[in-house]
Amino acid sequence: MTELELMSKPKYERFFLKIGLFFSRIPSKISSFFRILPLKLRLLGKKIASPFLTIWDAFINGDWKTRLSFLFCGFGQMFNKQIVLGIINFIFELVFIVYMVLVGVPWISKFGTLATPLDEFGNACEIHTTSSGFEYSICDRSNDSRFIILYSLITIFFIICMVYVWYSSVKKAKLLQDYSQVVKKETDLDIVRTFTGRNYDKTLLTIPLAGVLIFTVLPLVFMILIAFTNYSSEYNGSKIVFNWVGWQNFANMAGLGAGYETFLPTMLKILLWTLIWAFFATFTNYFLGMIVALLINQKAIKLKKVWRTILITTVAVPQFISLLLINKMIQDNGIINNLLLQWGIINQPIHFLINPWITRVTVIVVNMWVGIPYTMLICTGILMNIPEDLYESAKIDGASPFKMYMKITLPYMLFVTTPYLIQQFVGNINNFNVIYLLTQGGPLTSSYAAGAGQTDLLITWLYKLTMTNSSKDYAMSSVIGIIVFCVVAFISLIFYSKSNSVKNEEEFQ
Amino acid sequence: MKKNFKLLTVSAAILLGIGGLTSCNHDGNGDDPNTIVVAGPGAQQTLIEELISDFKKQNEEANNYNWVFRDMGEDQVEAQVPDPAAGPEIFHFASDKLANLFKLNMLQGIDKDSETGKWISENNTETGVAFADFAGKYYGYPYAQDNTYVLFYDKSVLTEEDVSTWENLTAKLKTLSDSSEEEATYQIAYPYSTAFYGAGIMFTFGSRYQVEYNQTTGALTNVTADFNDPVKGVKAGKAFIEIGTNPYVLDGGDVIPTSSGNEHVVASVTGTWNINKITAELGDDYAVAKLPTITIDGETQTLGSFLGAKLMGVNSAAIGNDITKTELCNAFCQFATSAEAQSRRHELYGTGGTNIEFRDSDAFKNDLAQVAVANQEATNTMVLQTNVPGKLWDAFTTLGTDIKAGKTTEANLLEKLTIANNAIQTSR
Repeated sequence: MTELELMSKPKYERFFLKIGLFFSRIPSKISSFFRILPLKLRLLGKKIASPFLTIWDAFINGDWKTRLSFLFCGFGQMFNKQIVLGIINFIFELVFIVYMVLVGVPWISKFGTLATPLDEFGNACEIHTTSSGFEYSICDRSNDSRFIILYSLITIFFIICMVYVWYSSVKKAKLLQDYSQVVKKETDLDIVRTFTGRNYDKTLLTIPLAGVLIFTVLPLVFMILIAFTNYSSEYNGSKIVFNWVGWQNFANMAGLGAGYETFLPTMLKILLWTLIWAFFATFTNYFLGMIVALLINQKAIKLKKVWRTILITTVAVPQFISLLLINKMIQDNGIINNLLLQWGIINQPIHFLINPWITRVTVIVVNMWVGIPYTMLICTGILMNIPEDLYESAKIDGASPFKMYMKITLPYMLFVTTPYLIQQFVGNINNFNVIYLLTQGGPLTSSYAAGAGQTDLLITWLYKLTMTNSSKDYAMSSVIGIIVFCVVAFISLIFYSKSNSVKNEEEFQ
Repeated sequence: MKKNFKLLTVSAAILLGIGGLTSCNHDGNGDDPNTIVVAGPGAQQTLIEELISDFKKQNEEANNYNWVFRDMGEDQVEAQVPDPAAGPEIFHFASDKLANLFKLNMLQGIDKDSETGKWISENNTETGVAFADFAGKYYGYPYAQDNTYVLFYDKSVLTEEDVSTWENLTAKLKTLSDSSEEEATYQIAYPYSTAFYGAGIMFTFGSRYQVEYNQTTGALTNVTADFNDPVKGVKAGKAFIEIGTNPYVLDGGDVIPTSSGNEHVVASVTGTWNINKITAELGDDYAVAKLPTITIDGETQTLGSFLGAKLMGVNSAAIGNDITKTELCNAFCQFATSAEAQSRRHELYGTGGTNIEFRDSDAFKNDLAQVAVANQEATNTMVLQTNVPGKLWDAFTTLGTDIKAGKTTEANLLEKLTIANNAIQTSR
């Protein structure tokens, strides 16, 4: 069937035909995937094998300077006029050896078993008593599982860096050997000049990259590893050691562990609410913000700046304060219920924070109050860029305002703001402020595990497990963190890569 | 020019990075062995610094150390000290945090048979000593045992007879509301949906929880409770429903009794920490009493309550095996929780004490709020806030909100109590 034939069909027929086409194309997509798979695997294999081949080539075909670089990093460069760089590589190797001997090996040797309990109760410290009857403890930090994991991770990162430096050194030595007769050798001064020349971008990125490694990657890996331990307020490393428990926490999250039967239903309900909340929070703000921007943009509306200013003043008040105030206002004895009771509109207070469905609607409505001005601002700017002649042509062709909105305004807006929408959706999945400041995740219910409430998001439940519950379960919180990460990564990658904004970056169709 | 600009950018980036690293600051005493950090509530900073100064005059050894005050609420120790070894050497803490602090190795134990142990048991009330008793030793120096709630009321509106029983109280509030020319509703503020108060209601007819601990690790090993007892538990549940559905009850915490506006809150179940605000508001009309009795199914009991305490502790993880510091810090704690210190604390902040000598003084006996607390304590419905099972708070918050929302009634009361009880028993 051609495109024209498809367009001539009624809407409902087109819809079902498209669904049918989707399913009918699945076998061919699967077969083309398996056809391409061997080629992709071969390319991947080549990429993985390439460094090893380089090393092998350097060892077999390298001269004595290159082979010396295998043992002493930078020697190949030192003999080829790159003295300073060679010395830096060598010093790095020395530092690495000293670090491993003094720090790295002692910590990483305990990584497999973590801390060793000093008695049958799992104590991490020796307990003694003074002659006056005061108990004191002698604790060895090297027997604290938290520090073992942390310093082992740092050691592993250091090892990875050392392997990279060693590989670069050997590769460079071989390169210098191969091209020494052909091209002029790069000296130290030439290399320093590249820091502000062709490698300027790498120079500027060095410190941010180090920051990302230390403050993002390291804590992230640490958190992932904690999910495989029994770290909690009971087994906290200070008094009682904690150890690896394998996949036990994941099994507990799936409701398979003793005492954790209600975890899976709780997690699924919270995940479902998180996605529903993110959907409504994003799209109500987006479309209502757009409508407000369109309304203000109308030619008939006077004092446009005044209306925009009024809406923007809600942005000027810190969200933290607004939400706490609204929390007070919607209490059973708050100002809203008091006024409604006084005016005789209601006989009983509305339980904004007690009835779960009313609470859920309340948080979405309050979030609109907080978020619409932002979207209105963004949409105002974009709307001004839509060419007027499109609307004029549409009017001449007899299009209604709704038709113009659906065919001109909305597609243009979506094309420009799809990355923003995805970012907002993902951000709302982790929107801690609105939920926690407004409802603290409540109302609570006995059918939810671990103090979770009926408006809790995964992130607020995680916060409760680590900060507010009297019995803190850091390991289970790590599992929730991993789940949040997977959900966010999946949504971001899939929707971003499929969006028109990315696929048709250069044009608006 | 372009090259110079690039060089400048690179240099600035490097300097920023170095500058950022140098701004890293170690909070607290760091590794300085000659500093002793005393953490306590900011509101009591004046007293704590005076006590430090007086202690240094009495104890020469104390002058060899630099004493530093750090603002930290009694219930904030766990949250504000992520690394116990880097925490303050001495700190104030709430009694319900003792087990958690023990597990974090933040409390030095004191042998009961030692000189200091005997000082604690001989100079403090049984209740006060009970708060410090854990795993066979004392793990703190108690100095206050009035973290509870009583009934504050406006005596120009309510009499002692009115507040003696729940029935009298609500009947009087109804009379006042019906006869009000402004059609005002006279109310009592009772934050029953907050577990601290809701749990008190559940204690009224004898229901309790028992916890068992591993005496070495402090880990909770077993929790039993009887809040779903068909007699005691159900009566308490009915009392809860009576309070939660009563139109003359305002579910609000820290409400100061006042007659302003249309909502006349003339009585409030709130804590002694609001004494100053209440006396400022009510002036000569200020009155306080123990909680009223309530009659359910023919049995009359005083409404129950939690009683919490405040203690001072010595941080085992921070001091390690420094014996001199151990002795000194414990000596300071003993000094700061003595009769004189408790008397000064009461004079400045209205805090009730645990010291027997202080409680025998005129200052204590003339304090109406402390007398009300003592009267409440004398009933058998007050439960010490020690070793509270973690899930108790959520269970009773849920129960309170369900009653408020009408989801828990007498028809399904036993079922809801069983759910709450089971949840409490799963605390670990």
